[in-house]
Amino acid sequence: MQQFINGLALGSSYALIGVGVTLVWGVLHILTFAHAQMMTIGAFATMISINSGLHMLPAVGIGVLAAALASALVDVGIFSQLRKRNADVYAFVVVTIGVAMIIEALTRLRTRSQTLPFPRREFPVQPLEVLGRNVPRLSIVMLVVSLIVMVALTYWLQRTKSGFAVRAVAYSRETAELLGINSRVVFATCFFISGGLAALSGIFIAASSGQISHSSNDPLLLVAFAVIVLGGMGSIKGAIVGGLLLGMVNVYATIYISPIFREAIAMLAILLVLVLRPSGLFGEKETVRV
Amino acid sequence: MFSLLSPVHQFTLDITLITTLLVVSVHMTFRAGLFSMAPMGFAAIGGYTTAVLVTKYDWNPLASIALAPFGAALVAAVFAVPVLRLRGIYFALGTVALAQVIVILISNMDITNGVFGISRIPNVIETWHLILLVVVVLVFLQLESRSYFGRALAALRLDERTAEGLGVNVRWLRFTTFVTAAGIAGLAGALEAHRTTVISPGQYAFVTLVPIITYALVGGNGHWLGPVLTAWVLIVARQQMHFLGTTWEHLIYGSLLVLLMVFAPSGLTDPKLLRRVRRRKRTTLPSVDRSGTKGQDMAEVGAAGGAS
Repeated sequence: MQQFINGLALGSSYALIGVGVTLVWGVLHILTFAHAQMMTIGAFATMISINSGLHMLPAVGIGVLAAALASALVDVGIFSQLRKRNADVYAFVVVTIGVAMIIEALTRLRTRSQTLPFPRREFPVQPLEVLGRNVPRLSIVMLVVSLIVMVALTYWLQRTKSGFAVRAVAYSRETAELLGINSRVVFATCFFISGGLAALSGIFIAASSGQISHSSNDPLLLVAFAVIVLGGMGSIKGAIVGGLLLGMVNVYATIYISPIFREAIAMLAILLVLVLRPSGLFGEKETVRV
Repeated sequence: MFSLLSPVHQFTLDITLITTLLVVSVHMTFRAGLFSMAPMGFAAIGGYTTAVLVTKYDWNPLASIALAPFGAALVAAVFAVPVLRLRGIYFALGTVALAQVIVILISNMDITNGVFGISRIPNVIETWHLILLVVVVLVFLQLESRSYFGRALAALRLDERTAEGLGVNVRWLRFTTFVTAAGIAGLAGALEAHRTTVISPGQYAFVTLVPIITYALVGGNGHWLGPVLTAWVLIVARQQMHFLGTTWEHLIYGSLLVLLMVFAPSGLTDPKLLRRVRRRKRTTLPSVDRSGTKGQDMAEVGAAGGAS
């Protein structure tokens, strides 16, 4: 039972990371390598705000806004130029690697390559006792937030007019533009949301580990890829389920098989899913793939 | 012959030559329409094959280096069957997972000494060995691109279905390319192990592949000269930036990547781009604008000509 809770706790942070990456892939067909750096931006902005005397909630708001704006800015400034030139998926890979390097260098300049303590006094870090089990409060918050995000995003995409516009652009940019949809706004909006989600997960992770550095989020990039492959690339429900599943697999594999094979099992799971069901658990079939 | 160089420069030269082999490995699969992120995994197999054979079983270093590429190719052949079913970014993610599994397994085995790695591997590699090997590989690539195999690959890149309809065995082509590229990566890994004399799983991590990917993609998927020259220029440029410290190096290199890709989204050897540049040269007189391109396009090429 305790393992189940730990798995959910780890998984909910993975899920939140995955949603941000899957949104950008599903709509824009950009596999972003800069997501971990967007997380760092959010966590840094929050840390600076708290250290300058702000309360936790507005500080988190500032963090989310900072990363969302940074992400939208990168889209408007750089990615729009690539789209104008009909760049393929791989060009975006290199550009997002470049963006990631720039952001990492800038944060490194600010911290002088040191690991800083994250001010988490006001975050709910104490464990809560439920039925004799210790549940970290922060994980509950994280799980609830990721579920809210999933519901809200799904509602937005399926029921609102701007959500329709996003799906139309995802289906065919040219057709959507002919129908009068401003695709540039759609792209910027998606990046804005993706950046905000990255910031949320970055802040949660910094608060639960209590420290932050320019590179502390780097290993999470591969985790994000694993999550979106498991859930089906582009599927928001899939990203949440994939994230929780990966968290569970990690925790159970550590206990029942061997701690050292933990990561290997996650990666083997990706390979298995890709080979048996390339569209992931919740993805829609794509004809281009095979 | 290379004794004139200081040890530091000689080491840099050697590592650059080894990196060239890894870039060639990425480039080969990329030319077959596959974006492989597994080369570091295969390099790890190559490096550990020779390191274990030499330090634990007293093999002759040259014999074990010669064997290492086949070890990597064998693993690639086994995994090619499931992984080659994937396309596009799914293939890329599948190969990432494969490389990670290989590195994680190596860092948890006893025979490889786990995360501590293997040290005191005899250094038998001379610079001229490396130059010879790189030349052999590049000549092989050149002959291949002029052969049936290379032309079939070019057809495959243009239009997979039409190529298949015209009798190109797409599966066999991709399988051979994937396995050969893995063998070259394995060779690079083995050479690196003997050149640096120490290996550990950390040096085959995903981050070490990132610069190699950027060299290959900035170079483009046309002629092999593109990625190889790009790799050399960028490696030298990064060397020159070392005195600024890693932070500034990353800042400048990151910006350079963004600019290069915005200028040439399909790499510097993209035929369309080359045609555009050539056309620009022909129409140097502003009044004779035969190309019919918009003024904006001209400005782009002009700006980029200054940047590169």
